[in-house]
Amino acid sequence: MRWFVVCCLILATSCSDEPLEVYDTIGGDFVLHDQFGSEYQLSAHNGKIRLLFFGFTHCPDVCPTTLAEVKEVWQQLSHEQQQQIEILFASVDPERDSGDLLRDYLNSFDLPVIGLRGSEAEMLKITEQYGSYYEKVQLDSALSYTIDHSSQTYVIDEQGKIRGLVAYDQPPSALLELLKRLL
Amino acid sequence: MASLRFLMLLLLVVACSDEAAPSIDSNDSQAPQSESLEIEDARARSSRPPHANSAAFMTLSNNGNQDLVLVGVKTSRAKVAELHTMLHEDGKMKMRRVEHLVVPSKGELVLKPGADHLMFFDLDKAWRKGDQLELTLLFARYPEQIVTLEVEM
Repeated sequence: MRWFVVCCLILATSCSDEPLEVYDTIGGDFVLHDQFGSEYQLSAHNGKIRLLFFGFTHCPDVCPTTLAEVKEVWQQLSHEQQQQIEILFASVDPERDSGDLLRDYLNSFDLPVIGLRGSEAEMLKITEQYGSYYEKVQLDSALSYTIDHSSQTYVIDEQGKIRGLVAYDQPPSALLELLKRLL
Repeated sequence: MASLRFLMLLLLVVACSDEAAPSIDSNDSQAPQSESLEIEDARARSSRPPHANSAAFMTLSNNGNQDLVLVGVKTSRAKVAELHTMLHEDGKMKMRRVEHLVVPSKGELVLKPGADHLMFFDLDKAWRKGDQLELTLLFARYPEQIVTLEVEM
């Protein structure tokens, strides 16, 4: 049900010219660990705008595409604007995504991304909290298993509130537009 | 009686043939001509740590009068190569292997991120931007096509 709400919010976000709404029904604080093993609490980083995406390193398509598009947007921002933003990539594959792997994977994008990881239980709780979804699926493929997952990017403001959602099939300009309205 | 037995045998042979399974036979007299197909915008994605997989994309245009059926792909740069599609269901992304992809007659098959694409596993080494790759596309009743492309993404 929460993810039906998220779908509606994406639609509302993409269609509205009104000031950005605060989405109170999803989101909120969480505590995970970054790729270097340090604790990351969302609320402790209030004061920054956060871009949050749930993905995994073995994701062959959606995740690298999303990170490449975030990079495209990032490069269009001034240094001062970049300093106001944190990019968060939260892994929904706790089984495979070690801290070291997350670090190596994210380094390859040449983009300052904070990789986040937690236990299966923590990730299930947080994705539910954010109206997101993921599920491990065995494949008849050399991939062994994959993770079906929601693909939207959350735009979180300086107070830790979700102010926008960008769907996978929206162009990078949609994310840039949202960010410019917040910066 | 002999002709009845022959007829029964013929029916059995027809009933047991598996027409749904595409066979790769470029000598088939009904096979479309090789000039039917054009391949453009071929490119591959660089692999990322742990370099477990990568993907390739391209546009296949079929100018012929018959659909072409892509049934596989192979390359020396990966031990396993598969055809995959991406299902979008209410914001959920679901990647699945498929047995074949169709290039419709007088139409095109666009292999692109977030949609139908070629997947590679067990890479020989990291696929890095600028690498040149050679892929062989396998079709049912159509000659295999060798595509040279660059790792661009």
